[in-house]
Amino acid sequence: MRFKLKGKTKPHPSVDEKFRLIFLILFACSLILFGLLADSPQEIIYGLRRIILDRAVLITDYIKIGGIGAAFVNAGLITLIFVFILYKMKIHISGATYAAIFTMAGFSFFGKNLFNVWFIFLGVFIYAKIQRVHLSRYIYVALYGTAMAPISTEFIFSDQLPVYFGLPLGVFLGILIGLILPPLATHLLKVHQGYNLYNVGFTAGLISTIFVALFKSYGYIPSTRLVYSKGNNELFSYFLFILFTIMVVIGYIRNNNSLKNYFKIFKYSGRLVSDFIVLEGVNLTLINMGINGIIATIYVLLVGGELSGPAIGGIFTIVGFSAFGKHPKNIIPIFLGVYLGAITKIWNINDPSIILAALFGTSLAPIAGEFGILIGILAAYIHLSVTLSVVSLHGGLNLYNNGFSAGLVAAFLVPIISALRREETS
Amino acid sequence: MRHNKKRVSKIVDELISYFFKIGSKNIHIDVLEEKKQYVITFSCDTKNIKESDINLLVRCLNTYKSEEMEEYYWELTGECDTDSELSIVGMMIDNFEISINDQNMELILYRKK
Repeated sequence: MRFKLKGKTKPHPSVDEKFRLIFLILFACSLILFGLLADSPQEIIYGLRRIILDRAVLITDYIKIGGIGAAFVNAGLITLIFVFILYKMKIHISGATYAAIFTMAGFSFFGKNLFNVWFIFLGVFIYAKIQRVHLSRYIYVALYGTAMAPISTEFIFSDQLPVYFGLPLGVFLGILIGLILPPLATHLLKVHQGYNLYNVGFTAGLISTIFVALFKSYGYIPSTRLVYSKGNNELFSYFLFILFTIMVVIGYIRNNNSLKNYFKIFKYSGRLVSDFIVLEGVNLTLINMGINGIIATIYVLLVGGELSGPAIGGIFTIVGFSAFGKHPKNIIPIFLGVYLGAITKIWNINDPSIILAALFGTSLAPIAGEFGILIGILAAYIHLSVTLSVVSLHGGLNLYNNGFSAGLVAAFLVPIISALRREETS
Repeated sequence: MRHNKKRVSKIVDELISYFFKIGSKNIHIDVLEEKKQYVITFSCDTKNIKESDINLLVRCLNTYKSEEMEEYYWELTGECDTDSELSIVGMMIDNFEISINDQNMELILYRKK
């Protein structure tokens, strides 16, 4: 074998960067358009007001709070705003960008809104100023960090505290969390070695557990709730299946009307950092995103679940991370593990929390990708119990509760499996 | 940039792990700190190395530099011995050169300060 190469040969940035950006804009517009078709402008404005004035702790379905139109417009506008911010910062649109933007869109159906995401964002901005670097360096942490947006609204709209105390406290806590998040998020990656895709969820879980412990010691006890919409499966199925089919078709056409090389994606474990757009290109990634979206939607429908706001959030998060680690081979074992857990444990397979555990449990997909299907099923089986247990630690103030749980499961399982596997090898 | 030298160490760590993983038995490393950049040179034997491993190495190093990705994920490099973080290494370096003959490979990485 003889080979010689001098210098980076890829165009900088990639020639299809503009296409990647336009795709994200169109995705955001599709959400807004669907919202505008679902409800009248007056209903949407009234619904947005209700969404913004809500505490937003887990699980608060914005479709139930503000209506279908307002929830979709909220998600579309947040997506559009953050795509614009990324564009102005000249961030390369990669798989990581798709994962972050789709996660923002997804959680804008249950917890993130046009008002509460900015305090943490401002905190990360101040952190960047203290470090004397541009905010763009911490942009992904800032985006994911909005998982703790409810910690601000919990106090701002608290019925236990007077406004003159709750408002400044909520704003202060949001900024403070934004300030401490970047160093923690980077450092905690090592705990699970990248086997938990929702790393900021793990970080946010740790931070919110500590904060909630402090709140409790002063007699303030945040509580979770279950506000969940029902009866929209047919309407949302049409929207989701059309959206994901379009993704597959665009990827297929741009890949010279073929699925050629698509299955190469399956060889990646999905462990952080597996950026499929960088590694295999945007066309195959779009096919993967569409296929995973279809699989996730079918799963929810098959087990008799509701396509509510949180469920749509879970599906969009899977679709986003299908550009950054997830593929059918590593997410299906997670679904199987949660299914197995649900039928043998005390919960019903179609309970809202169980549906979310299956969708967001795919955060552990890299374990299935690296260690095999059986270990993936085991990880998901454990995850189901852990995720329903840890929510009481942070009182629903961390929207990425499954990310927190998945971090714990990965930190627990990976060293054991690695040690056993290494022994087998030797 | 904070932890700049630590980041260079992590790049070295990651690549040593990768070369071991793909079957190299004899690895030499040279790290040079210049005024404006770090130059990291690896040389190793290629007796057991497959062409697909080299292709993966080149594809991962041949990604654009991304400070936002580096800032978030750099601590993962060199952490895992069952998988690799080569694409992050690619995002942390400004340029690279690679030359391979039947018995030896030389890889030079350039990272601006």
